[in-house]
Amino acid sequence: MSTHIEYKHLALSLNMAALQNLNDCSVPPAIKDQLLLVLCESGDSNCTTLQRGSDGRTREVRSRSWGLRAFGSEDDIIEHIAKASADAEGMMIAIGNMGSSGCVSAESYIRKYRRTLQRPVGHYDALVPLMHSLLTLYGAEEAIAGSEYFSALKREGALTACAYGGYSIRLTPQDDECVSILRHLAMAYQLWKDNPKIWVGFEGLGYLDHFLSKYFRRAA
Amino acid sequence: MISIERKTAILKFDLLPAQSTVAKYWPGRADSIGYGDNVVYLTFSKIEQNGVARWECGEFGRAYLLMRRACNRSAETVRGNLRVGLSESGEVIQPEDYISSHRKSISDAIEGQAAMDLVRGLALAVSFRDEFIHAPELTHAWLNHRGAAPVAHELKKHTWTAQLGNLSDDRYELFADVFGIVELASYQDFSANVLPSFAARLDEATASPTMAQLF
Repeated sequence: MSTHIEYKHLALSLNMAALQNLNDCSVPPAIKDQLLLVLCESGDSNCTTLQRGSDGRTREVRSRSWGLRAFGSEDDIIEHIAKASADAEGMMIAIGNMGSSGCVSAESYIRKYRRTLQRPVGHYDALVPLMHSLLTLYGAEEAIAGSEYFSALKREGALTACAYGGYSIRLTPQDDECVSILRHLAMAYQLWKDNPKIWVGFEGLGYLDHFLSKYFRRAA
Repeated sequence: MISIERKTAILKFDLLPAQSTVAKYWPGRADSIGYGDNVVYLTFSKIEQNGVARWECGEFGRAYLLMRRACNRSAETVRGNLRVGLSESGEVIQPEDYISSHRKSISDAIEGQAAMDLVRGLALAVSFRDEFIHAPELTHAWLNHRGAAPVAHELKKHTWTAQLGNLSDDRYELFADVFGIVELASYQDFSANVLPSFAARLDEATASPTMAQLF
C-alpha cells in the first residue's frame, strides 16, 4: 500500500473582476471576486524515477509532479481539504516525507492549507504558471454534453479528448488577452459545482518553483 | 439543511477479557480482538434538524473509524451546515476544532462499569446485507440467541432487519454482544436507528456535565 506524499504547496489567487466587467459569461457568485487555486507538488511513495544528481550519478528517487489540489472559494477549498484530512489521519497522505516524520494529524493538515491560503500568489504572477498549461477534466463526458459552453468548445476543437477518457483545454491567451483563461476556469468551476464527481486538474504547470522562493514560508 | 450536534456519547469497551465468550459465538474470530488495541467504541450523537432532536448512531468500531467519520463530517462545518453545542441555534465551529473535540471525546469516552450499564439498555432497529460476508449464519445465530431474530427484507435479497435489545446481564456475554454489534456494523448497507427506550437512557446518561458532554 502506498502513501501519497505532498512536498510543496502554493496558492494562486486569480482576480475575476476583469471577467465580470466584460460581462460575457456568468461568473459563479462564490468566485466573483477571486478564484483560488491550491497547487501541490506530490507523488506516491511507491512510484520512482531515475534522476541524475549534481555529481553526475543517477539515482532512483520518488517521482513527484505539480497538480491541482483544490480550487474555488476559500470555503470550497477548506471543505475539500477537511474531507481529505481523513486520509491524513489514516496516514494515506503524508507531508514532506514517508513514515513518522511525514505523519500529520487531520487538524495540522487543514491548518497547513489555511497557512498556504494566507499568502497566495496574486495579480499577473498567478496567471504565469497556468499560461499554456492544460486544464483537464476527467469523468466529465456527461457533464460536458450538458454544458453549452464546453459543448461549443468541443465542437470548435478547443476541448480535445485525452488519456483515460478525459478532456483537456490548452490555456492559451486569445487575442493577447488572458480573459479567455479566466473564462475557462470560471466555467470549469461551475461545471465542477454542478457535477461534484468530475475531476478537474492541470498538466504542464510551469515556473512554480520560482514563485516558491518568493512566497513560500521556510521553516526557521 | 442545518444540523446541530447537541451531544455525543461515546462508549468504550476493552474486549480482550471476552475472547473465549466471543469464540463461543464466532469460532475462529476471537483472535481478531487481540489485533491492535482490542478496544472498540460505540458512538451515538444527538442531532437536531428543523427543531427536532433525535439520537443517531455514529460509528461502531475502532478509534480510527471514529476519527475518519469526524474528519468527513467536519467538512459540513465550513459553511455552518453542521453546528455544535447546546445554545439555541448552535455554535459555528472550524473543521479542525470539530476534529479536535472529537479526538478529545474519544479519549474521554465512557468506559468501565458506566459503559456496561448504559449498553445493557441498548435498543436498536438494525438493517444489514450479508451477501458477501463470510459465515453470516454465526451472526444470525447470535441475534437469535438474543431474541432478535433477523427478518428478511421483502424486496431486497440478502437484506435483513432486526430489533436488537435485551443484551445479556453477564459481563462477558455483554462484551460478546458488543463484538456482535461491531461485527454487524461492518456488514454491507448497515444502518441502525436508536429506539425510544435507549434514547431516554442516553439522555439520562449525558444529562450530567461529567458524562460525555462533548461541547
